[in-house]
Amino acid sequence: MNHPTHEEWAEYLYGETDDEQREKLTVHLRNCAECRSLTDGWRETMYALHQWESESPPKRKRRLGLGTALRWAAAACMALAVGYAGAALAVKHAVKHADSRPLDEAAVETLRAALHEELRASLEKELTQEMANEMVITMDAARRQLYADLRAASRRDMASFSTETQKELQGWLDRFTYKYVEDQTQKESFLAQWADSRDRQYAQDIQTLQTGVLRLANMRGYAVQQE
Amino acid sequence: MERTRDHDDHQAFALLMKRWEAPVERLCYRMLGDAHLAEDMRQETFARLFASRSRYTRRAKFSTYIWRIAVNRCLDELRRKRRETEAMERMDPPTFAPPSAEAELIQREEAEAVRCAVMSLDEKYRAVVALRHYEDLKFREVAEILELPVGTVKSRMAEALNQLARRLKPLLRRR
Repeated sequence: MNHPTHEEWAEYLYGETDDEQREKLTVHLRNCAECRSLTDGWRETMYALHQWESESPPKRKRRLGLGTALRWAAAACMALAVGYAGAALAVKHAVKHADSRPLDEAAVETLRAALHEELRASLEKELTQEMANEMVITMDAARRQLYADLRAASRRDMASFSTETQKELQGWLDRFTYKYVEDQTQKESFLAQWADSRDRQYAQDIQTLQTGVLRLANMRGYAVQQE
Repeated sequence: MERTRDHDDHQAFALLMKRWEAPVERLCYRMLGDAHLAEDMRQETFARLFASRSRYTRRAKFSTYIWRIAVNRCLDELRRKRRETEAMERMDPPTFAPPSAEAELIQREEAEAVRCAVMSLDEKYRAVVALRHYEDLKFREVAEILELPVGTVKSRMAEALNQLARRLKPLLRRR
């Protein structure tokens, strides 16, 4: 019998074969005890490798709350900055233009309220995103556990099943492994998108702050006094 | 990356770091098996990335570029460590921790056994395992990063699985 190469089996187990080749290899596997034994050993090894996967480096873990905390801090700074800018401009105004119009406190308040509202909306959006992110991570952990349980159960009980059931179960496990790999890829892409949107949001916040302060300065007639 | 290269844009570089520091540190950890060392290597990877920014071209994808720097940095580090500890390793090969009655402990021991098994692989196999198995990159992408033919990457993965299966036999039998 012509056995597929080890490279082909590696491709097969990592779900990188096309449908036609996959079908061919699956058929071969049903009829070849030698290849079945090889791939079973590799499958178990691949599963065992996941044991270390769940043990991540301590500092690697995503600190979900940090982004939000930073953003609240940024919000506080922004509110202070607007207040401070208003006060600083007021002092300069009083010193250099003692005879000009009185301070427009209401305008400062309006601007501060508008910025606050904008930030609050963006914080709420981020919280929702973080919750979704956390959910993906939790689901991922649950899926890993399910996978671990299934593998353990199949190994334990496999001997007592009929050959037909064993084949059926093996096929099911193959499909599960394939889906598992697919899900991992989707998860990574989701997290990458989330990180990108968060970065864009940070950049927008800074822009909002700059615009706000400049608007305030312009409103008070101090555009030329940005020292 | 181009903004960093052309305009020395530090903000753009900070964004790059934010996006890539966790994956790079994770890869370094799989290659080195030591969280502190992995953190150092992550920092060195970004330092090198910044230092070599003028040499970056769009011919390769940025991900390939940064993975390649990280892998090469880890390989350098492993070579340095090997020179230092070669004699000691011969005397004290990695061993699996003894089984324990407690489920949580067993899980940790299993993770440690797997870590030891991966660490005992030759670097050329370990790099493939870290990138294909743990980072879930395609064989084609791994080949690009390591600058090897795809067939070589697949055969290294197959050989790595053979070696790991042998080394993890005591662990697999326990299940």
